[in-house]
Amino acid sequence: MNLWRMILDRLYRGNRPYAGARGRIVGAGMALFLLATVLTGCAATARHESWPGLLVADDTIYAANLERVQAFNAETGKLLWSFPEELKKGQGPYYSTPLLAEDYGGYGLLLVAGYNDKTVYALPLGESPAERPDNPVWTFAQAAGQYVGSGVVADGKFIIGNGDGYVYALDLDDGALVWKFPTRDRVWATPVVVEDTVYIASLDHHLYAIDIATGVEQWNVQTSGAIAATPVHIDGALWVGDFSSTLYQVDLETHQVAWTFTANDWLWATPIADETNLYFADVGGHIYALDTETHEMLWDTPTKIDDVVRSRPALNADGTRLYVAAYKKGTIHALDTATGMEKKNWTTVERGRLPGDLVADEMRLYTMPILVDKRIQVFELATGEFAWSYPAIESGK
Amino acid sequence: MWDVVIVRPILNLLLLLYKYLGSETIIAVTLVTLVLRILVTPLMLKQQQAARKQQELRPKIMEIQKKYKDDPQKLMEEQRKLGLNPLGGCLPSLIQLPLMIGLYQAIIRALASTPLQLLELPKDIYRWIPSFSSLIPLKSQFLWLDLALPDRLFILPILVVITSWFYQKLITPPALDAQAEAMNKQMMLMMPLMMGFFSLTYASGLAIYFLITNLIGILQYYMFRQHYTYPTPETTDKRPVPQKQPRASAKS
Repeated sequence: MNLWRMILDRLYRGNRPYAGARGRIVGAGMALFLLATVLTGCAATARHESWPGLLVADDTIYAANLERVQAFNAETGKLLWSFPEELKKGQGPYYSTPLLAEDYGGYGLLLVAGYNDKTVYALPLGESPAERPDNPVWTFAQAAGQYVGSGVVADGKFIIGNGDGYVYALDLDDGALVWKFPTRDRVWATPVVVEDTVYIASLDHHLYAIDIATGVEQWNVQTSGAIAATPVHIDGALWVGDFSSTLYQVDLETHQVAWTFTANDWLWATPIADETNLYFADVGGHIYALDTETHEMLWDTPTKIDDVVRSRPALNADGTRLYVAAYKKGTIHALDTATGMEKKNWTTVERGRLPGDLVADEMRLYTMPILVDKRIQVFELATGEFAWSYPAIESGK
Repeated sequence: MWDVVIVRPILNLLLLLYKYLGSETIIAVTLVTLVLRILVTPLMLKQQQAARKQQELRPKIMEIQKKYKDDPQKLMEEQRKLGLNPLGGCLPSLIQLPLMIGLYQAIIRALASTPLQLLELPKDIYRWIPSFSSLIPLKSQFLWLDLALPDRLFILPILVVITSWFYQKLITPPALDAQAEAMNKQMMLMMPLMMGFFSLTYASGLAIYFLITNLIGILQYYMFRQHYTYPTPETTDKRPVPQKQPRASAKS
């Protein structure tokens, strides 16, 4: 306090000599103050958020929501349970979407992987969806990095990539490490299983094919940029985009890149496919529709949304509408899949940001906006009408 | 505007250096710091000259202060005639500040410790320079450091405190009275501690910036020593500042 008082005192007495020394001290003081303000401001805006994910199984939603995994009734939005009930220091937030292993743990295991706590949890589901899992059947905390992508279940194993650059295969019965496979950078993508091979992309500019039983690399493909999107399997080929804006068709028989397409911006969102068409978006807001057999674009020009797109789009049941989430504005755009024309758009409640993947079932679209109070928001697919949110909107608002 | 003018040029310069200097982030950060420091050097030298001139003019200033002690307007006028600029001392610090914040933001964006931070990066990359996007994510590991996170071993913050203190000691002009001396002493303690605190709290890339800046500053001091040398304190007034007399009560 004394120092600041002296600085102010000196500044106030502007007609005193030694302006150079005084100016230097005042300048340094002001610089420190501004620097502290700006840096503190930067830290404050960098609230530890994530892109949360959810899955819909039967009539239940399982959502990784900030520091908790929660189950909801999909019809009404009623919260069924939260795990854990009491938060431990360093837990969450979750980037990784929960995964259901239905054939394990009696009534199924819910597999979730934490970002900060670097731990995989296997939560035993009960006979009733409302039954809260008391304790995990097992946990796995040997990875050194954060989990961003989700995992897959294959051959009695849970396979997931980690920020430490390894892909881990865990025994679904007890969580024991079966094998781990090294890459040269973080693994943020979710693996894909085709027959006895798991394919996983890494930020090290490679797509790896790994034998599920042994964890041994079978082959790999090098890409121009880092891959954070999850590959999509269509008819003997994997389709994946990278940060160099290139979409690759990787032939699983020849182990070669069969075809490429250059988009306008980074390809981070995981594409979505119907039988033969692939819909994908770049972070610059361009949305593309590709016939994967002919390699022809279905629309004359990509549809452009004036926003960042990171989340995987969703398709309605008959494949006539494509739903795309605009990240910053929190808007959902419903496009005609035949023409790419926008048919409808609506904004989420409280205009939260939408980095997480969109999920659709027969009737509804499920979103998880961030930086808002209403963390789960559900809309009618056909009309865009708001169905429910968690927490619920108070009556009268 | 801030992003376009300050952050993006620094960030893309960082990427350019990263691309052509062996994909080492630490080298890129060091060189960007060096470039920024060289850019502000003429200003700093000019400021040092101004401070020196003020020291030299001190007897004259004292004289006019005495002469016009009852006419502040005239006093300021006379001081202005001597070419004194009360804000002259602030400028280098204030000009460095946006660059420092810009570099910090560029480092944070380029290194992006979380996926959400990385999502903010594509818009800042110049697309007319080919293959910049392929460089992402930048290598953030250097020895024990993750440049996007604070140094958990406290080595960098300690180095920042030591070099800040030494640099402050070199460039602080001689105190002209007891009050200024006390203030100098406090600043010499406060500045390094604040820098150390920032280094402890924010990305170690920022601490690298502080450290390199201090080292370059020290080097510059020895290279341009004549700009930093002040008149000998023979002319300076070391008398204690008179204590404030208690104000006479209105009732008395």
